[in-house]
Amino acid sequence: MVAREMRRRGTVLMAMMVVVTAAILTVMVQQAVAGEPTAARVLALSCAACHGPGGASPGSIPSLKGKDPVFIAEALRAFRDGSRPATVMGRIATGYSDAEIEVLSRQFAHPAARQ
Amino acid sequence: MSGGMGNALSRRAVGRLGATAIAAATIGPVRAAPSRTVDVVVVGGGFGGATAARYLKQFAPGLSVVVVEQNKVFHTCPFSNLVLGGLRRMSDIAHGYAGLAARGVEVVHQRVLSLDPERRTVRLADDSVIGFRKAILSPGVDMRWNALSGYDEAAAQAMPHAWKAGPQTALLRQQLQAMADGDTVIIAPPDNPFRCPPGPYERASLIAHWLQQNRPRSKVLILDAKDRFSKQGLFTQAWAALYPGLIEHVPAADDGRIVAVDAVGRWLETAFGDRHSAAVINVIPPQWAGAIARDAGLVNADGWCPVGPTTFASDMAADVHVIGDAAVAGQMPKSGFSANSQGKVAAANIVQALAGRDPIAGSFANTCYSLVGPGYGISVAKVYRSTADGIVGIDGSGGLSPMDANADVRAHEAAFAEGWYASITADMFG
Repeated sequence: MVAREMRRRGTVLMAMMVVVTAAILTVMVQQAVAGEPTAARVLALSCAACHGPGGASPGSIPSLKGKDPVFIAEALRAFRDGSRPATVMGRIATGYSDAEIEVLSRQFAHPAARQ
Repeated sequence: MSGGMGNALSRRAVGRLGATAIAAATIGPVRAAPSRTVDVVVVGGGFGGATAARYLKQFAPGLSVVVVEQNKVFHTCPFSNLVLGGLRRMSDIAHGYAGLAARGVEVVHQRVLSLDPERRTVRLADDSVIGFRKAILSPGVDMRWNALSGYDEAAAQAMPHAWKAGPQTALLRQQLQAMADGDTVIIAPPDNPFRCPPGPYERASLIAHWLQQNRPRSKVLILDAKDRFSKQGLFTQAWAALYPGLIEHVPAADDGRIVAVDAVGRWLETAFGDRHSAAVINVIPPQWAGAIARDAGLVNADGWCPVGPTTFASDMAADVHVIGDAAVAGQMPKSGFSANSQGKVAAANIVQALAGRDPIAGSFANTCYSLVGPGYGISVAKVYRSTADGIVGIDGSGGLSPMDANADVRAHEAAFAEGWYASITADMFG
């Protein structure tokens, strides 16, 4: 009896989670498609001047497009604390907080990994 | 002249006057109605304007965006010193507008004659009038003719400023190629603020590089209106290493400041009355915001455009935004990178405003690379934010390349300077 009740609750909970997740995903996809300005996008705008539009660099500077957010965030933190040698990125990374680095790290990732 | 012609003209003139009088009595002064109205007019297709137009379409593909730019080919000021130094050709710094057109931006190659902030219109040289909901002005700088006594447009043909890339760059390059071994090149930079603070010193470096290869007995003399200049320690160290004895810098305190120019006699006069002459004289005169902004009443007493730190809305007119070198952008230097960074934030916030949404605080960056010689690059960088106190640099961010760095570091920065050029021009025109 108790076990059946728990199973039913579990099923309801799962159904609710699916609905909520679907709603969140829909919002996220709509945002990505519309390309509207968001605080996250504005924060990442200046990266393109060196790393190329959308993070796709046509020249000697590394591309960011499609890179794993964990890798980007770790690199930015390491540039910021000086543990990773750099020419200019040490001077740029010091301009961003931990929270901002987390936001930035997702902006150039594959769309599925962005949120 | 024939009387008939005169009469015809005067009859027409009278007719026009009559129409004007009638119109003035009913709707005020006659100004041509716009033939069409678009969402955003961007005046100037350089680092600020081209970037803003591209990002407007990226953020809101449905907006109608017109860029008005008189030149079909844009030559970048960044890397124009490499042309002077023989490291690039003019065609390497030339960019067209096909990329913007492919993104749905309409590019009109006309000169803008005037902007009417009240009626929200721009008038072009072909007399067409375009109405706008929002205007972005990115007119860059104009030379402030005769601010330096005797330095006017005619003088710039004898002593090129080459501070707008294109024909002026080609002229200065020709003069360098025509000079004899042993002749001197004078560069006379202005006082702050001006476009590209490290630019005159990168120019001195790359001209010295060319002289070293091609006119080994010649020298560069910098007659400076300032005592201190951008990346001074780094440049000075590099000059001692790469070009010993080739570059002499005379600061204002040592009578380096030029106050008068004679283009015919080919001499410059300093504040204390010393005269200098040389085979090649590059005068970089004082500057102010481009004419369109000055004529529209968008400038302060110094000739620059005060704007808000988040939207770049003019302090002087509603729905007109000014970006790039013409704007007073807080602590940001007047550079192509700054203009690119501002163009994106202005575009984002114009999209926000047109959609009835709140503005988003801007985040900006600037990295100014200077190439001192082949394989020898240095930089200055900083991150900036929109704040209630204007655009301010983030404490602890930014700074200069290290002094005394090894050749490997300088080579990396030289390579990154090229990478930056490839990326930012793709960000504008790609």
